[in-house]
Amino acid sequence: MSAGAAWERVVRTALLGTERQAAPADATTGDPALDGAIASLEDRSAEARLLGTAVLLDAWRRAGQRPGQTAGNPPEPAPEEAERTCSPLAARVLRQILAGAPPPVLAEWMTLARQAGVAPPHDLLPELLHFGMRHADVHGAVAAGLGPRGRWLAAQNPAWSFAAGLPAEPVDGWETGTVQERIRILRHVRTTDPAAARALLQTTWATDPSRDRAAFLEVLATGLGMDDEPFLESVLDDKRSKEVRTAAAQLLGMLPDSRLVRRMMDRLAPLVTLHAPAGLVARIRGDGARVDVRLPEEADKEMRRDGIEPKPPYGMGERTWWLQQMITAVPPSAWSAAWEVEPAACIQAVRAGEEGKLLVTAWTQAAIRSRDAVWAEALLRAGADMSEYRVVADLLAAVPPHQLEAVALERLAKVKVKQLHGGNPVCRILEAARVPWSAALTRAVLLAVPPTLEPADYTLREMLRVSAHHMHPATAVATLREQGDPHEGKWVDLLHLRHTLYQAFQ
Amino acid sequence: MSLPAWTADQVFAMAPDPASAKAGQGLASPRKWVTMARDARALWGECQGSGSKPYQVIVDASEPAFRCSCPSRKFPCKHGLGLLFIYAAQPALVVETEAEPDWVSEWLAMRGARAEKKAEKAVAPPEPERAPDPAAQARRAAQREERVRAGLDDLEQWLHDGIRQGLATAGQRSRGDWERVAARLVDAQAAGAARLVRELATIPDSGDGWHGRLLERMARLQVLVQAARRMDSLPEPVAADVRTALGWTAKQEEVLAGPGTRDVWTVLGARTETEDRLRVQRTWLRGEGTGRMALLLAFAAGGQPLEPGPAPGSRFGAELVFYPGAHPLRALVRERTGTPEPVAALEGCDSLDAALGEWSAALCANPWTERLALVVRGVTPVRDGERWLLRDSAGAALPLSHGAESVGWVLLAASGGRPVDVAAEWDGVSLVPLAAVAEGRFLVLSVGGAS
Repeated sequence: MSAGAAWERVVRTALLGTERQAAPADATTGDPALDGAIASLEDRSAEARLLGTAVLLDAWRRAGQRPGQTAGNPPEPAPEEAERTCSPLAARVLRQILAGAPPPVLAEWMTLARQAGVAPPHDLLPELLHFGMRHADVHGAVAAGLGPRGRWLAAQNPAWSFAAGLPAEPVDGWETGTVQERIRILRHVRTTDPAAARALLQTTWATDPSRDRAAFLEVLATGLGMDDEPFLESVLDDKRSKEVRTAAAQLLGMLPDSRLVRRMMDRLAPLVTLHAPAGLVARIRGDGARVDVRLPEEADKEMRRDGIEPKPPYGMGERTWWLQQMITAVPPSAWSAAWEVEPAACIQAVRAGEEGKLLVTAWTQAAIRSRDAVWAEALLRAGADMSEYRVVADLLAAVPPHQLEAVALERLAKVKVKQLHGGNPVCRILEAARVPWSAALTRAVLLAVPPTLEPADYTLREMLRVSAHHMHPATAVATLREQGDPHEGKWVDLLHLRHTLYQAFQ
Repeated sequence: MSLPAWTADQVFAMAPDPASAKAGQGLASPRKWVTMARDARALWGECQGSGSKPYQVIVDASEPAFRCSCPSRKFPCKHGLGLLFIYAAQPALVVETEAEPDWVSEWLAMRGARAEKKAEKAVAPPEPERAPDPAAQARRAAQREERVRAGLDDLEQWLHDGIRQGLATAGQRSRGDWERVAARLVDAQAAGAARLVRELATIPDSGDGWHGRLLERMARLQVLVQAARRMDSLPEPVAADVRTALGWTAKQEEVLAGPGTRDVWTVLGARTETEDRLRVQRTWLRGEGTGRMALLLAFAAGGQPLEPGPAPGSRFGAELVFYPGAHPLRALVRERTGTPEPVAALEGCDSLDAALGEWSAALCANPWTERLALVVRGVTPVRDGERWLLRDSAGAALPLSHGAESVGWVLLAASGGRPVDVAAEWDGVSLVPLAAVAEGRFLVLSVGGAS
């Protein structure tokens, strides 16, 4: 009997207690020295003998312990690809970010590292993947900046699969996947081959549930083109679901050359008319122009087919409602093209008329839907309702960053030094401008911010909190220093952290 | 001579707790600092806090030792850590200068004076006029031994009762029952034995196989009782181990008067645990020439700061004095003979079997050995279900502790699944990694303050 088995017997006897078990445990081990020592305890009391035996066996087992043998083989080691590790400063900044900075800063770190061709230090990878795992919005940046070791490590833990660099998502789950999986597949195919995605969608279109089909149509907004028009036009006659018909009408409204847009413009032409003075220059600039509006008389069957909802929301007249939907349904560029007038002039002419507010609201929605940069910028400069944060954010999303900066700078130029407050619409623009800012805009904003923030000016504080992610860090830190570092708070710390971050990758 | 280089890992390892590490990182930004400078002896800086006067921070790089004018009770405080973080990542920002400010020189001079006095005291014979009356001393010692003997007799009786009634019954005892026995041992001046009894109390809640673990611990207490009775007839080093296990610690002055061991010592790592409201910091050193393992202990009660030990991942020449024992481990630093330098490699065993051989040797000499740092070269971290193993080239494996889940991932990441050299604390059941050398880089795996 081995010492291990003898120990088990002694434990069993001890478990019941010596008063219930008269006979001593058989603790012979086969080792003469050990057995001799155990035997020498014979003349003691039952408890002393058992405990003494335990003493000997415990010491014997502990001192003679050997490591176990592993079954199987360890996983394939990481590829021996050369990988340049980032600088100590960059590593320290990464540690600081992982200790609790907002996730976008991690995305920034990863992007800068990828651009510099360096990878995170290996020992920080688990923490990095753990942090990334919990923030879906940085998955892409984390996965892209990992380097070979990080991708290998991510593949070792199912929780980190987002970063494992697995092969492109398979298409063969289309018929059998859940809705979310199918949307992911469709989106993936759509970004690489729009026509293939449409063809894939059509393979199961007749049998898919209506709710799923509406969600699939939304995916087509990416890479939308006139190739999609015939299919979408046919969906307007879908017998099963209004939700699906509406989704198709919305997509068609984003295509200036679609039959739906043409039909809608034909209906609108007699209703919305431009009265402009003669002369080419005056026409283009819209000087003295005025837009007259007549409301539609009815929403007929054809209009309903094109996605016009006849029943207005509470508090709105039905004819006003119809007109607003009709204008929203066509890209705003259709107007500037039809009238041969620049967007800014269109807006000016509309505001001179009676239904100015209605038209600007509808155009704003149309510009957002069709992602028309020129119109969006014109609306931001004049007209759009700046109190609607969501609307402003959507409009800004349609405007390329440099144009957006021009809009913001123009508005900032009118702000007196250190007099910016949350009531100024530019704060909305700045808060929504979630793209890297130029040095010029960064400086202009920080010079306009008062040295002491009003405690109650939440809009300004929120703008600074958000914008600290987008300001040009070196300029921001220099401008603040120039002013004698008047501010404190998380947004200032964030700017300094980002400043160090950019320095670390110079 | 210039200041040793620091790595951020080492700074992290110095932090008394994770909150301090985070706060220190927050201060690792040059703008928080009015001045930052260094010379061959120290780093210092002035950090703008919330008050009008900046806090003055000094780091004596040789030990390292910290001094800060802030009111924090953490040690080192976030200011000291912040300064070191900056120095580790951007040494150029900490300006090298010849002109040491007075507040720096004064403190360094004060430290020097204190160290000298300590050394003098250590070598000087006890002053004759304060020598205690030998008769009274003997009487006190006899009284103490008598009390301990009585306490241990109680303990043995209690152990035997437990065996007679059975472990199943013993496991149902309330906390209060165990605590009463422990308290009696504390009264009998056997605090070490009391701690072992308190540990027993937690075993019945520790999951499958607790009967075996309970019996093991009872057996170890039983040996202690028997050994304490025979103390007079034991060889002196063994008797010293018995005294330590009972909880009679030798006086530092007496230990420092013993013979020293000179070597270059690699700081493998440190772990801090809280035992009975007392924070205990264990710092493991390995002598490069002697191959000896040494354990530095530091204690702090309640919220008191722990004096930081030498930085993990550094090596320094020093004379250590070991506490007496059959297999001496615990040591004190008597004298440092050089500036710390960063470590680039770990020396140790080439198989887990050989490493466990060191553990066996320690146990054979001192059966109350609770932990030993092992250094094993060429082991690969392997995930086995829910836990981590370290596997050597022969396929032998030892498990990492359940608390080391995240450390296992760090080891895997740093190793790339290839063999690395690891230093870890072994307690007979599982390993808690302290440090690793992977791809030529020393990694500190233990964060100070984690338990």
